[in-house]
Amino acid sequence: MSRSTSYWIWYPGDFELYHAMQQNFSRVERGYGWPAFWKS
Amino acid sequence: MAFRRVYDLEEETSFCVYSSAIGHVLVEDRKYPFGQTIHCGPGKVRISVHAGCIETFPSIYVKGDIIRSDNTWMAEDYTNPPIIAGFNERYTEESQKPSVWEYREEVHLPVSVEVCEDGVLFGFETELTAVLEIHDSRKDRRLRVYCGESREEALDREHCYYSWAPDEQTGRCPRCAVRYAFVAQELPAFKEEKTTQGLCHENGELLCAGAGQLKEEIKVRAIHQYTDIPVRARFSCSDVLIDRIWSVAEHTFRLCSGIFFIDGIKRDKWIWGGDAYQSLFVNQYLMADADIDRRTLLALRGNDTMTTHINTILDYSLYWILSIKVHHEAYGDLAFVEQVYPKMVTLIEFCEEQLDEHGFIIGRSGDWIFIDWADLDKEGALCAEQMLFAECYRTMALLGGRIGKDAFICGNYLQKYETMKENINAFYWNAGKGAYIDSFASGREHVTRHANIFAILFDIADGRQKVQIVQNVLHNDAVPQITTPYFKFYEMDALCKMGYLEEVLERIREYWGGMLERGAVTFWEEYDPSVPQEEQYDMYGDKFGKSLCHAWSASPIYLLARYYVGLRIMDPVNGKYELCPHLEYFDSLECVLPAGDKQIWISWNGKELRFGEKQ
Repeated sequence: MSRSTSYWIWYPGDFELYHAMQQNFSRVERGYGWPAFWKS
Repeated sequence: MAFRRVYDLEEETSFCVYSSAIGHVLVEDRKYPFGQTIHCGPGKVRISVHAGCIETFPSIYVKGDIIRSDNTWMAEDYTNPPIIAGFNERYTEESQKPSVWEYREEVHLPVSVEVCEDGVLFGFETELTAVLEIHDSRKDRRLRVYCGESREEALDREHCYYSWAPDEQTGRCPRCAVRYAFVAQELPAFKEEKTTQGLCHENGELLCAGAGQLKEEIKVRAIHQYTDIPVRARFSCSDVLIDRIWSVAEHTFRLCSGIFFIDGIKRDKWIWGGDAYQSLFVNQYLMADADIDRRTLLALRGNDTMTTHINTILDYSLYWILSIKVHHEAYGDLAFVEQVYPKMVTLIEFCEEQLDEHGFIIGRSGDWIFIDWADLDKEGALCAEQMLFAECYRTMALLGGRIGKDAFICGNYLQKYETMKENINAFYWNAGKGAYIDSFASGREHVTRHANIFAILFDIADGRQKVQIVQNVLHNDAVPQITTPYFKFYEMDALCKMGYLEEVLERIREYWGGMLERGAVTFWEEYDPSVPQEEQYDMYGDKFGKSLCHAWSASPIYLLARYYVGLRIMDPVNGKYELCPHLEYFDSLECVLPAGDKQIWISWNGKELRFGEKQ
C-alpha cells in the first residue's frame, strides 16, 4: 500500500462477499439461472 | 457503516469524500455532504464518514494532500468493535466503482468456419470466457447462437449449456465459456422442409437462406474478458508432451482465476472451498498472486456466526483452515493470518459441535460429506474427514504460534491433534490390509485410495505404514483408480513425497496426456480413460455436464515446480527458498519460478545445472 495514494475503503470482507454473491449468481444452465447462496 | 480517522495536522489542509452511498462527513461537530471540499486544521481533527447503501456495500474514497482513505482508517458496523478498513490495490481512482469488477478484453477471431446443416460453426483456437459479437449484414431475421466447450456441444441445440439471441442493437451475447459457436437462423415453430434454396415452409415459401449464404452474411468475433494476473513462471523442457501439459494447465488455470478462484468456467462458475485449496498450490508457482488467495478465502468464509459448512460441505470447511496455512507458507502473510484467525477459531468450534462419541467429526444430519466423486464407504465417521480435521488442529497450533497466541491455547490444539491422530490409527488402520479403511462403523473394511493418500500427505501414517500404503493401495490395481484430476493431484503429491518421481512423471504423461489425445485444449473436471470417446463429455447424468476447463486439473504445474524443478519456498518474506532439483528425467529444461518477490531461474542441459535469481 502506498502512503501517497487514496484507496476506496469499505468494511473488511464486504467487497469479497458482494462480488462472491455476483459470482455465485452468474450460473446459467440452458436459459435458467441457478443461484447459489452460501450463507455468509 | 462508519469510517473514522483522527489526524494531527501541522497546518490547514483540505479533502473531499466521494461515495455513491447515502451519508455525510462529520468533521468534529460539523456535517458536510459528499463531494464537497472540506477545509480543516491545524491541530487534532476527528473525521467520521457515515455511509449506507442498499444496492451494494458502502464504500468511500477520500482525496486530499494529507487526508486520504487507506488502511489507516477504521471501519465500524455499529455492532462489533472498530477494525481496520478493507481495501484493494485495484481500486485507487475516484472514478472507479468498487461494486464493479473491471475485466480486460482481448478480441479473438474464429480460426475455423464451417457450414453444418442449416447453420455455421465457428471455432476458436482455444477455450475462452467471452462475449460473442455477431454482425449480420441482413437485419430482417433473428439469429441464435449455440455455444460449446466442444464441437459436439455447440452442434447439439437441445443439450448445449448456453444458447443466446444476440442483442438486437449490439449483436452481443452474454459472457460465457466458449470454444465453438454454432449460429443459425431462429425460425418460427412450424413444419418446414429443406430445399436446394434453403429451408422452406410446407407451402413453399422460403424461410431462410441456405447455410452457405449465411456463412457469407455473418461475422463473429469473441471478446475474451479476463482478470489480468501476470504469470510469473516460464517453463520449457525437452519433453514435448510435458511442455504441452504445462502450457494447457496454465491456460486452464488462468481462465479459472478471476475475481476469485472458481471451479470451472462453464456450468458452476462457483467458488468452492476444496477446489480453491488446490488452486492455492498452483498459484504460488505460477502467478504467485497473494490477493486472489485473500479474496477467495474471505469470500468463502463469510461472516460469523457460522451456521453451515462452507459450500455446505464438511470437508470444504476443513480445507479452508488448511488453505490459510498454504497461503501463509507461500507469502508469509501474517497480517492476513491475524485478520482471519478469529474466524479459524469459530470454524473449528463449529466443527467441534459435530463429533461422535470417539471425538470423530461426523457433521450434522444432512451435511454433505464429499471428499471425491468416488465410491467411499460413508457409514458413520469417514476416515478421510478425520485426517483433514486432525491437520486442522495442527494448523491452528502452528499459525496461532506465528501470530503470538497464548502458548496454552496452541498447546491445547496440538494435544487435540495428537489425540486425533492416535484415534485415527486405533480405529481406521487395518493391520491385516496394511491400509486405512473408510469406515469402522460399517464393518465392511472398505479400502479406497483417498484416506490412504491423506495419511501420507498429513503424516498420519508413520514411515512403516506409508511404505505399506504405497504397496497395498497406491500400487494395487485392485483398489479402484481415482477418476478426478482433483484427487489425482493428491495422489501424485503423495507419490512424489514418497520419492516415486519417475512413476509420477509417467502418470502425468498418461493421464493429462490422455486428455490431450482426446482433443482437450483445457483440462477437464473428470477424466476416466476407460470411458468411450462418445461419452467423454457426460457427467452428472448430463450429456455435456462435464466442465472441460476446470482449475483442479491444473496441478501438473505444482507437481513439476515443487518436485522436479524442486523449488520449496521456505521464508517468502526474507526470500529464503530451497532448491532440490530432480531433472535427471529431462534431456534439458529451462524454467523461471516465483519465490516471494524473487524470480528463480534454473537451466539444465542434461549435463550441467545452473540456477540463480532474477531481479
